[in-house]
Amino acid sequence: MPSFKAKAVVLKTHNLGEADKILRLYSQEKGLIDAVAKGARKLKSKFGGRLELFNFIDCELSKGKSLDILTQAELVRNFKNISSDFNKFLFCQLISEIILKTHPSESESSQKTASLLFKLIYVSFSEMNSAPSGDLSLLEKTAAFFIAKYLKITGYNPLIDSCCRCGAKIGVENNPAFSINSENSLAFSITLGGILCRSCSAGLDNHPEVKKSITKEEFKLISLIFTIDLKNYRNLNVQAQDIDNVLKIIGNYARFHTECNIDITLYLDKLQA
Amino acid sequence: MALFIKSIENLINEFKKLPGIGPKSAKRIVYYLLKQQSRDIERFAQSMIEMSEKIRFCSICFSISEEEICNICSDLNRDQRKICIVQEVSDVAIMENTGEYKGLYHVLGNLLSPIDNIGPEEIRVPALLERIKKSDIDEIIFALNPTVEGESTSTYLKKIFKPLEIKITRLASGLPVGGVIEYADEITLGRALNDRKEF
Repeated sequence: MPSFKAKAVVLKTHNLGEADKILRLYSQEKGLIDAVAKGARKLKSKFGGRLELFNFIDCELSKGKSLDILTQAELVRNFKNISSDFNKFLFCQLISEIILKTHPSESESSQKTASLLFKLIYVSFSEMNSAPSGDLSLLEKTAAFFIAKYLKITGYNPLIDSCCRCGAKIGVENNPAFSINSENSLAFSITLGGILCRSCSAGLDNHPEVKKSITKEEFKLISLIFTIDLKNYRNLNVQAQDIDNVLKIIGNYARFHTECNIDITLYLDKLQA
Repeated sequence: MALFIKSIENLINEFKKLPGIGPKSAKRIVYYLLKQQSRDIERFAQSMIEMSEKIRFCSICFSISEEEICNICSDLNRDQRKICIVQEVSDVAIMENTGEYKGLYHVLGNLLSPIDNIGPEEIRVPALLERIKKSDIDEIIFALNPTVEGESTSTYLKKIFKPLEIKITRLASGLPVGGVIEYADEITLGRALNDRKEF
C-alpha cells in the first residue's frame, strides 16, 4: 500500500469498533482526508493524546480502500484553551462543521485551495485559543472572519462594491433599504448575493423577503471583513452588537449559498454567558 | 440468504444488530445455538427478557437499577457528601471496580456537543443541579473522558456549579501505569508535569 505524509488538523472523530477511531482530517496537501487510527482509544495507544479534536499534526498515512490508515502522528500544535472554554469549543465545532459539510473530498479540491483553507483554519483556531476567556464578541469576530475568508477562498463571496442585481457601482452606498425607511440603513440581499443599488432596492419593495436592512456600520464592517488581512482585522474596533448582526448575516449568507445547512443563530443561542 | 429457513434468518438478522457482530459471526452464533439443548436456550432467552423487563434507570443518579432507586443511591453506608459525575452507565462499574471511591454517582448519558444538538437538557444538567441543591454535597468529582468534548463539558458544568461554592475536582490525567515515558505524547506528559504531586 502506498503511503504519504500530510500536515493536517483533526476536525471530527468517530469511534470505530472496540478501540479504533475514525478521524476526519483537513490536510494542507489534499484537503479532506478520512482515516482510521487503529487502537487510538486504548490507554496505551502510541497515538496518545495527539489525535484529539482541533490538534494540528504531522502524519503518515497509507492509502486504504475507502478510508486511509493512519500509521504515525506527531503533534505540531495543540490548542489547550479551546477545550477549557465551552464557547470556544462551540465556535471551533462550527468552523469544523462548515468545512466538513461543504468541502469536496480530496480528489476534487485543488491543492491551492486546500493549502489556503488549512492556513485559515489554523489562524482561526489560534485566534480562538488566544482570546481571553469570556470575551464573546472577540470569538464572534473571529468566527465572522473565518466564514468571510472561507467564502472568499471558495468563491462564494457576496458582491459589495457593486449592485448584485444590475451591476451598477453608483448608489450602492446610500441605497435606502426600504423606500420609506430612514437614511441610515442599506439594503442587502442574501438570496441575490450582495448589496443592492438605490434603484434595484426600490424596485424590490414588493419583495421585502429578498432584501434585508443593514446599518451603514454593519455594511462597512462586512466590506472590511472580506477585504482586510488578519493583522488589520485584529486591530479593528467593533461594537459587540454590530459584530453579532454581521455574523448572523454572513452565516445566513453562507447557509444559503453553500451546501452547509447550519443555522448560526442556533449556535449563538447556545453560548454560555 | 434465500436458502435459509425463516426462523433462522430472523435470528441471524437479530444477532447482526449487536455491536461488533457481522453477518459471519451472526451465522456462527446461530449454528452454535442450534446444537444447544432447549433448556439452555430458554434460559438465555429468559435472561434477556428479564433484563429488558426489570432494568430501568435510577430516578436519582440515572444509573441502571432493578428498583426505583439503585443500590448505590440507597446505600446509606456510602459517603453521601461526594458525587462523581460520569458519562455512561458502564463508567459507574469501572469506577466501582477501583475500590477507591465510596461516594455517589451521577450519569450524564452523553457529552455536550452543540453540532449534534446535545445541549444541557440532554445530559440531564437541570436534574443534577436540582439534586445537588437539595442534598448536602461537599465535593463534586468530574470523571469524564480527557478528550476535548469531555473537557469542555467539564468546564461548562464547572461554571454552572460555581455559585454553589462546592469543592469541584476532576480526575488527574497523566501517564498510565506501566507506560513508558519515551512513548508518551507531549500533551499527556505536559499534563503529568503540571499536575505532579509531592512524593
